[in-house]
Amino acid sequence: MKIVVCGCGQVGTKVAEALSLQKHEVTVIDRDVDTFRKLEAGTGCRFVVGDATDQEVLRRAETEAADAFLALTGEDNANLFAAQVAKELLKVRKVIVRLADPIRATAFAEMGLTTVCGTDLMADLIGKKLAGR
Amino acid sequence: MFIVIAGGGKVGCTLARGLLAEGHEIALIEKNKQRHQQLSDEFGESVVYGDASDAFVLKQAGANRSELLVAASGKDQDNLIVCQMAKIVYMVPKTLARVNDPKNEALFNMLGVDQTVNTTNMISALIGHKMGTSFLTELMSFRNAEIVQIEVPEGSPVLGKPVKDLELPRDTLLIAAIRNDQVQILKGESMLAAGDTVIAFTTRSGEEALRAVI
Repeated sequence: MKIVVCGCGQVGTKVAEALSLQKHEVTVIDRDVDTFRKLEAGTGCRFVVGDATDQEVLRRAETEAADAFLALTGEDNANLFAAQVAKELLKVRKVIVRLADPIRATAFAEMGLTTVCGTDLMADLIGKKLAGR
Repeated sequence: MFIVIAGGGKVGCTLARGLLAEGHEIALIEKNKQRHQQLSDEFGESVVYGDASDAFVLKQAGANRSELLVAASGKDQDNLIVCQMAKIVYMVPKTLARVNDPKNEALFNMLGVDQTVNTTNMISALIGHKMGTSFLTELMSFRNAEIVQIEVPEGSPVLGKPVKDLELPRDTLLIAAIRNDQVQILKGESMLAAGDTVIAFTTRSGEEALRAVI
């Protein structure tokens, strides 16, 4: 699959590396050219430097031709914006958005976006660990 | 009317002043602590501290009883999400967003923002107009329609013909002409003169054709 990953922080890097290992064709977008150094050499990811909330940058990353688009930066609004451009304008079939705010996650899930809320997951997991499960 | 403004920068703050002067009730949301303090000195309790895309902050500002929300920040991603949250969570009847990157205007309309104000395009059009390099300036835009201002040039094909005989594009209306600071409402028999400033209502697609006519 051709996959575009926005954000090369800890989450983005980990996801991009795992997907490359599975032989997917991965393009990573990040504002900061230095963050790409975090990706292990030889992963074969393609890099695009730029702001993921700029439609031009998303086109440069050939998002239109992608099978999946993952918005994984640390900013909720940037992720929601980029994801909606990918889904509604560039017609990417599978779009996943990382969010910290549970309310934004629920609200936009109702609007048809696939959201993953780090806060909810973490709270859930901590609760389970506490219960000894 | 009760209006919530998200973003207390120069645009949001000036808008708040204007709306208060017109007798509206406002809430102004600002996420920078220092700026929030400054705004509180001027607007008092009407200023709410926090991120306007956070549902709790919107509620605190009274978005649930507001008739209009204006997203006035310099960041398009924040403006879009604030308008969408206001609609989805609090069913705010009308949202208006400032658009900074002209490429985003169509996207905002497509994603449910009721009205957009494309500040970058407006400023560049105004500069072009003041420099005398463009004779048509967009004054206001609605979804697909706009109100424009046009200078009638020397030798224009409209000279010497009454307005009713002009071949205007579809859905276009010449509203008024300004000549020597005097406003004249245009009727079928009115004649335009070189140097007149014409105010017209047209559509996005009609704009190009209108340039050709005048």
